[in-house]
Amino acid sequence: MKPNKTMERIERALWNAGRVSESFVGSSDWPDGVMAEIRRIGPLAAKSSVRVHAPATVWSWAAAVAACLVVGIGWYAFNDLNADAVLAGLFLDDPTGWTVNLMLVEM
Amino acid sequence: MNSEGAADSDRAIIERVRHGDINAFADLLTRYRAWVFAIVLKHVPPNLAEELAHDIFVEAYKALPSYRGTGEFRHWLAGIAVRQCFTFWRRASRQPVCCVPNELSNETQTWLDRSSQMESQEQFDRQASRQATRELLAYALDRLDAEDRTLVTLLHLEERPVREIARLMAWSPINVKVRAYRARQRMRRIIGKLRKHEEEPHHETQ
Repeated sequence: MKPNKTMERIERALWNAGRVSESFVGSSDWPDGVMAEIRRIGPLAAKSSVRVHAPATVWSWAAAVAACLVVGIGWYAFNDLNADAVLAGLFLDDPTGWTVNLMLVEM
Repeated sequence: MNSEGAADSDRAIIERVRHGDINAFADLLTRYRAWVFAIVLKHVPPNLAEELAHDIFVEAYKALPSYRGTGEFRHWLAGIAVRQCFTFWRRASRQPVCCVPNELSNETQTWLDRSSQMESQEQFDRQASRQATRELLAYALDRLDAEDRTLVTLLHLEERPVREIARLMAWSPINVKVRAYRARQRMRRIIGKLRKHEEEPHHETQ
C-alpha cells in the first residue's frame, strides 16, 4: 500500500479515536470548589462599576468638557491675547509715553 | 427548553450575576458544566480536566461584564474554554505538566508497524484498539506546539468549521487553513518517524 494512503488511514483512525466523547463532568464536589473561588472574588457589580461603567461615565462627559474648553480658549484668544498684543504694540511704538500714561492711569 | 428560551433565561441569570448575585452563577455552572467538560476533555487528559474547567468558569465569571449578549452564551463560553486550553498548552511547553510516555507500548507499535499491510479501512479499524489509537494520538499531539495542537484538536477532533476556529483563535480563515495544513504535515512526520523501521526495508527492496 502507498505510504500516503496508509498515513491517511492512520489519521482517520486517530481522529475517530479522538472524537469519542467522554461523559465525565467532574466530581460531585467540583462545583463547590468553583463557587468558593467565585465568592472569594466577590460580586461583579462593585468591580464592574470601576472597570466598566466608570469609563463610560467619563466619556459621556468628555464631549461637553471638550466643547467648554474650545469655547474658553477661543474667548481668551480673542480677548486677552489680543489685548496683550495691542498693549505690546503701543509700548513698542512709544515706550516713554506709554509708561507715563500707564503710571497716570494707575494713579 | 428551546435555544431562544435558554438564551433569554441565560441573559436573566447573567444580569443577576452582574448585579452582584454571586449565587446565580451556580445556575450557569450547572447548565454549562457538561458543555465545558466536553470541550476540555478533547484538549487535555481527563486527570487535568477538572482543574482546567474550574479555571474556565472562574475566567468566565471575571469576564462576564464584557459579555454583550449579541451571541449565545455557550458560544462565548466555548471561546473562553478554547483559549484557556491553548494557554494551558503554551505554559506546558515551557514547564511540562504530564503524562505521555516517551515510547509507545508494544501493542501500539505493532499495530503501527503492520499498518501498511492492511488492505482496507475496515481491516485497519478492526486491528486498531481504542487504547492503541488514543495512545498514538496523545503521543503525536504531545509533540506538537500549543498552536498546532489546539488547531488539530479544534479542526479534526471537535470538527469545528474553519470560520469558527478563526473567530475562536482570532486568526483569519486563510491563516487557519495554512496553519492546519502545516500542523497536519508535522503530525504526519511525527507518526512517520515511528513507522520508519517498517518503511525503510520496503524502500530498499524497490
